[in-house]
Amino acid sequence: MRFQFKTSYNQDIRLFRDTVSASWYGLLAVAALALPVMLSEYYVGETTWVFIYAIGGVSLMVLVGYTGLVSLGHAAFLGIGAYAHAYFLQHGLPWVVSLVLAVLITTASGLVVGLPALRMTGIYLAIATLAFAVIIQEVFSRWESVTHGFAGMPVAKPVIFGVPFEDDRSFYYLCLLFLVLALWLTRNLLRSPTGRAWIAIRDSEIAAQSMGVNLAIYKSMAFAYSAALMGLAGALFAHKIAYLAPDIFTILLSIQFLLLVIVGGLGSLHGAVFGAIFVALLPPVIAILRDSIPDSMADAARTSGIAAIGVVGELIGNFLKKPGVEAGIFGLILVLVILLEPLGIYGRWLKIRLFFSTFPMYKSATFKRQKSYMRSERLR
Amino acid sequence: MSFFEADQLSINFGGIRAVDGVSFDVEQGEVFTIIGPNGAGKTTIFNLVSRIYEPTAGRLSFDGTDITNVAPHRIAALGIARTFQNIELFEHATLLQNLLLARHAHKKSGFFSELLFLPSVRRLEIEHREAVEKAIDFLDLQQYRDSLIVNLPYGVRKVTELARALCTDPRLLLLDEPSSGLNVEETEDMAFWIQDIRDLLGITVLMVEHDMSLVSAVSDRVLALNYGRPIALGTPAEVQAHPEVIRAYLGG
Repeated sequence: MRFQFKTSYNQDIRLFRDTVSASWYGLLAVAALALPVMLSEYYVGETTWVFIYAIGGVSLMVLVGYTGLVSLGHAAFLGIGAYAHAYFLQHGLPWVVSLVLAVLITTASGLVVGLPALRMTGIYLAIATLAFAVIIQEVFSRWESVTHGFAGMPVAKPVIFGVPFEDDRSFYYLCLLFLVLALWLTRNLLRSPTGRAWIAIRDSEIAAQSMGVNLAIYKSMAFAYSAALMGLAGALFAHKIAYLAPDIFTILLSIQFLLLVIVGGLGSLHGAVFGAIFVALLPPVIAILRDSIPDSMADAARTSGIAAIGVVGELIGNFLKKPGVEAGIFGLILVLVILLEPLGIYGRWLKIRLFFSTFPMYKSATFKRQKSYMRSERLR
Repeated sequence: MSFFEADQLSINFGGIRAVDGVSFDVEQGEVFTIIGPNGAGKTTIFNLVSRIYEPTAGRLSFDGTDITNVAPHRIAALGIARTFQNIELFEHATLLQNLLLARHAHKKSGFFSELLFLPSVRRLEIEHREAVEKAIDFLDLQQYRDSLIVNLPYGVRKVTELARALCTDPRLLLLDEPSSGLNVEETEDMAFWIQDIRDLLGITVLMVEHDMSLVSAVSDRVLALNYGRPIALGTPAEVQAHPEVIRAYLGG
């Protein structure tokens, strides 16, 4: 067990807690930089998806995990960012300018959606944002002069200051850079007054207000900042997917982002990254299992001579091939996580870490929260 | 003109007159307590003063300025802080974060400098921290700095709320039942702290309280309410002996 002695206030506002944790992150950075050299092109591409999803996850984490405002419409912001970026690129704007414009447009749309959020909370806000997402999806399919509707819209590979990012490996580094940037900026906000105001709004609006937090301004700010990050993710998403069509940005994608932050662990930036790993890698894992399970179980049936194993393998394989299985598995996992581990993957990670750092003194009761019924709901 | 004044304050909820023409004034440096049976309108007056409720009629003034129409989030910056009857802390944040949030009214950093966490933001954060540490020392909360509020016992939460209110650098402190849910010993501590807050920090205290031992120990003047109407005003002993007050509490 490691004890940290604090000798200056700076220690509580540093980016990394201490040199030990800073060196762990350094190691992680080295691993992330070395990854494309070690993996095949396919896995580099899949990891890039993790980064893009993680930027989106950070975006939604700010809103849901830190400010306590639920959004079921974040696919719309992703789409706005993607379409805006693709449109500006098509019209010959430089990449950086196009990206900045796309982010600004998404920010503005975030502000607009944020306005009703000032009067709504919980399920009502979720429904309002859902409606917004449906409207935006309709706009994508109807506004053909800009989006080309269902004919789709090709997106050029990024060329930044004359440097082309053509192959998957260079694009991987670009996405990694933006993810680190997004995490750093968000972490900065969270350790300054703005982030504290968001957390305060999440936990008690009335107390936040009495301490001087202007609810309208800080809620709009959370929406705008969240939308800006989602716009950034959208621009990268556009490059990654290479061809935009309105039916990409559906409600299911919004739900996937919500799943990401809940499974990752609400109220932590680690959770956004863990959740992104989960959401981005589950489909390829299912695809791999779909082929490998029947094969390996057929092998097992041959070697052991028990035909039943092969039959079961065949059944599992067929089941995984059914349409909608992926969504079903996502849903099942969401339910299980909410029931069994409300703090998500990050919560599990904290427990494992505590287990090792206090070994052999770990008490499972450390994380048990006692129920309290003290807070007044009267003033909501 | 008094430090704080409520003039003919009234509020209706539907057909119910929760507060009905209440007037009182609080002098600088006094502990002024409002008592009354349940539903007398004590907490409603607090919510009117902290501008969460809109008064139907009447005026509020603080230190010479009319605050009847001030937005609720501006109240803290004017120098009025409050605690809540049913603790309203930020439960999934640490005690330190809770207290730092109370410095929000004194926030000077802008969004973009915070985004980049410029040295100026760091300097301001440390200034806030120093202010917060004063409250932590004053109320002996050192050992709980990094605990999440959800993991703290009720008594500590109550003190944390007091500390949070102090961190806004108030000139008028509204305490809504500071002793509710506390045991005898904790209530005695609370009485000492309230006296210290007035004597050492020079903060005027407006308090709602049921515990008459605490009320008698610290209050300079007491206002008794019943059904939203004032029935007696004076020293704790005078109010306790007032026939209207006895009738309000005991019936008859």
